[in-house]
Amino acid sequence: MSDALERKLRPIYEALDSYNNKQAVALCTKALKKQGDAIIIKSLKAVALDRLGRDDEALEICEEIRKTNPTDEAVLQYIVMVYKGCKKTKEIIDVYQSAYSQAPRNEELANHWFMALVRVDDRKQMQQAAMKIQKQFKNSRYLFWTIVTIWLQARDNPGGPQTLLTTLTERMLVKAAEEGHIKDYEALQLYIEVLETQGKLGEALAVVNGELGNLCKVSADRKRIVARLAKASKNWKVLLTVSKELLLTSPDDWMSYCNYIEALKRLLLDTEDPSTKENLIEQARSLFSVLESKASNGKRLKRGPLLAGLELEKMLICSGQAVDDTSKMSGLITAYLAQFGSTLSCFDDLRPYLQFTSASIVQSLFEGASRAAEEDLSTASVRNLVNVEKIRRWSEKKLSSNQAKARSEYYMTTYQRTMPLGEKFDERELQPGDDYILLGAHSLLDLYGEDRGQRQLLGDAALILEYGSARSKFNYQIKLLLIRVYFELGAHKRLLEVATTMDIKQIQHDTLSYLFTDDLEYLGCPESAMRAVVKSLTIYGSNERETPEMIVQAFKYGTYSKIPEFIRFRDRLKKSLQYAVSQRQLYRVEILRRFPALDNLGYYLEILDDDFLKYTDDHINSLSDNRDVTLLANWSAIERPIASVVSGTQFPRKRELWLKLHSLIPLILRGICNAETAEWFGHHQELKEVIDIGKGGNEELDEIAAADALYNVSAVLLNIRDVPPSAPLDLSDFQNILDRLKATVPSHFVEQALSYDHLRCLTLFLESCNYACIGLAAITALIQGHQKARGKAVCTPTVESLTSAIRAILVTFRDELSALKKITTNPDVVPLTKEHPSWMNAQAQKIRQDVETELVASWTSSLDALIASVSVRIDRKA
Amino acid sequence: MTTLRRFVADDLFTFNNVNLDPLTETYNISFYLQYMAQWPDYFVAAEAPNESCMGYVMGKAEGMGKLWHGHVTAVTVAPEYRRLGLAEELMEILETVSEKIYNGFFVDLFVRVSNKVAIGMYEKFGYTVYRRVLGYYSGADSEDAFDMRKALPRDVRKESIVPLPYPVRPEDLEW
Repeated sequence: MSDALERKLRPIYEALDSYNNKQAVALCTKALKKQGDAIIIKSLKAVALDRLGRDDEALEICEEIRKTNPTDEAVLQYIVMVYKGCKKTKEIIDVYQSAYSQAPRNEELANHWFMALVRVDDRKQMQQAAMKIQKQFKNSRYLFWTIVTIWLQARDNPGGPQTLLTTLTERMLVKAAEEGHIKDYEALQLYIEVLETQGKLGEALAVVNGELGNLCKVSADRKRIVARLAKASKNWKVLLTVSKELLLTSPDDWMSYCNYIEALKRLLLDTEDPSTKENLIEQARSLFSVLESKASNGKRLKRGPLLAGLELEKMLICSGQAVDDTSKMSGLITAYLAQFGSTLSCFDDLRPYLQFTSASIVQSLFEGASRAAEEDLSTASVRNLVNVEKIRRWSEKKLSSNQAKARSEYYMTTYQRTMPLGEKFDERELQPGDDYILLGAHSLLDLYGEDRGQRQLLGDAALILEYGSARSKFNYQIKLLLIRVYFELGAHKRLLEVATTMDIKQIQHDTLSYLFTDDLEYLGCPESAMRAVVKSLTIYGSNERETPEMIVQAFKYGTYSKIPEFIRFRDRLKKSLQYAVSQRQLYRVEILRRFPALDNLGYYLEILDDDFLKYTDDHINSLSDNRDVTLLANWSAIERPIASVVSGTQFPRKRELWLKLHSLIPLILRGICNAETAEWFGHHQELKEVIDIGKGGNEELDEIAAADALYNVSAVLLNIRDVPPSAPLDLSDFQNILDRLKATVPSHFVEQALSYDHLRCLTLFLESCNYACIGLAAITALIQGHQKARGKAVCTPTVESLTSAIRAILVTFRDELSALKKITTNPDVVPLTKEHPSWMNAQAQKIRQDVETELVASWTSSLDALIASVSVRIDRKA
Repeated sequence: MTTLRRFVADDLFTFNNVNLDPLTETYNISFYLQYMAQWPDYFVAAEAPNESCMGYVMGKAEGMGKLWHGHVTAVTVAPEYRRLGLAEELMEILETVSEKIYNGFFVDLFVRVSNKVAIGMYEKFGYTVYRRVLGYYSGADSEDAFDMRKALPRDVRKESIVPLPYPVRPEDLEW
């Protein structure tokens, strides 16, 4: 670069560095006047313009530069920066491709070109580019790029015509091995994986056992691959031997125990000879006892050998090799408890074996643990007792209402006894008795699950959980359950407050948000719902930005195993069910918020991305459910998650029908608002089908009723849109819609507090009214258009009478809401126990008061929001 | 009874029981994926028999010459699986990887000087304070860090862990 040019560039760089973009543009313009052909200056100007939001001008300059076929890396970097900002991925590829074809010896450009293709995941092009680059630079790194890109295409469609590509991948790997190009663990893994996929397990085993196996620098890694291959090829003897070897070096390796026991089972089933069987079992038992003594001599307690003993007996019983011997299993369980009873995971460790124990054993375990805690109340004795309590809960039949309440009270008094133990703990640590809080709440919630009329059980559960949370501020189990209980109580304010303290972020937005955002739009809190949902959506933008770069990194570092892994990760997020649900929740809230301004709503609907509104079965079935549903603790033998017990239906609920409805609703509203007829009729018919399916399957009938209202509104508008101006308009069907609405104004609430169910019913009615209002606004707009064209048309009934009819409905609805507000602010209806259980001390009383205040405040705010929403529709000028 | 295996991208969907603990930070996607892409052997998950995540360790190899070493970026165990020696097991893996795969001289880690529990734990695992780093942790809870080290067999004379008599500033760190 000449000195003169460098002198000119320096102030431009400085301006850009200090984000003084306007000045940078001015400097570039000035410099270009003198030196019009300096593309480096042009490219900097494009960057500055792009930063100022003047994308069109920036892109225009970039196009101009591209015509000169630049190869200067700085220039390329700047224009790519602009293209990246404007999401012009195709242009980026073209820029690098053309630069590389200009300078085919420039390895850096070759890399840029390939990576640009990786970012857009164009596998065919990637393959071609990799081959070209490999030919030019003859580096085994590029050979593997080629192999991986072919492999990626083969994996896309297993079993299909792509098997040819698998064969090709294998052949290339065999050749690479022969020529000594397989030089690291990642390449070896790839080789083995490709062989495995084709079922060539013998070949794979030969590779691992051969010279190349030495690439596993940790010997256990090599043995684990052997174990995996032996298992896949049903070579039980090898699996037994290699698992034994692995266990002797690491006696806590659970996978090897499982492999060993699986191999043993198969070998036992394969033989009829009793002495062989006996021999095999004897070998296993003696191995486990060797491991047990080995483990107990080590510096750490290891759970493996004892649990493996349980797993072994379970396998023997289940496969008919031994009789169901309760005393043996109980003995093992007791021994396990004696050693690991004070660990938090003890119950979960034992859960798979509890079915083999008896009620009397459980009772004696319980008595023993209670006695121990009585004699010496310590963190360890309490944790041990809690584990036994969980076993008791697991093995108990259903309790009567009084028993369950008494049990809950017992849990709470025991909890209070344990409280001094944790007084000095760091506040971020769990308290020794925390699980008593959950047990106490679970007992009440089980009862509520049986009789959903007993709503004070919900309030009491909230009280218990709040009480526990006040002491154990970071216990997420308590908080998550609390959130679900508040949701059921229809109390959005406190539930969102609790959710905020959990600091859900990044990937957790996808996996955990549903716990507090699912169905939030029904709770009469449009602003908060929108904020929560928008926040949770940020992860999908991060995925688009970050994950492709990481796939690039995996290529760069030759971490071949991670490439398909990252691609899968990216796709799971991109096609996340939670993403689809959240996106539609947002549309739904916006639709209610934007109307009564019809053109505002119309504009909003117009710019919605149709990609987010797909509703075909294929699309919906392809969505990935990433929600973490195993998180909430559950200690009941009934496989029903506690969150589902609380909600009374499967939680999180099925979404197939809902997704279809909430794709079609915005699409049809778009047709109505913008009089866009091209696709409207198709959507209209689709909605009818979905409604019929819902009615037929008794699914989401309340949602279906609201959708039905929209369908009828849509039908009227579709009917009248082609009526010539000045011809009379028959609006009697619209009158029918209003008659139905009038008959269904929610007014059947007895004198009781609000709940999720109530708020859902109110919100859905508001939505139905909204559809009618939008319909009427569209009719009015149509008639006004007609009047301009041809003078006045006759409508029966008149628009004025329809408007006053709809207003009357809204006024009745608002009166109902106001009446409801009066009821719910009455503390007497708040679902909290009026009795005073023995554990209710002054602090609990105070918390009870807080819960009551919170509930009333939340409900009041929900009703106010609903009333405001109705009022703007009443006040809307026709 | 733990299954130790490479941490994979899909684990990010299910590591909540570990990461909801207030002592474990949840980072952005790139943070985890970068480690997986660059040091796949250094990112290890411990899995329970019911397939839930018990904890994980993530680390990297860095440095030049005799300072080539393994670094512990994060080691964490879910509350329900604590006091089972899992953290030590995970640290041992990281040491094995540093020794066998990367052939480093030592392993190091940073810890808040106030975190007595963690410091005590690392000492039990054989780590010693090499030096103090002033203001290593920035932000609201600004604090100094201890740079703790443990020598690997390659450092025969254990030169890497001779304590520095004076503290250093973050900008003086070699990498």
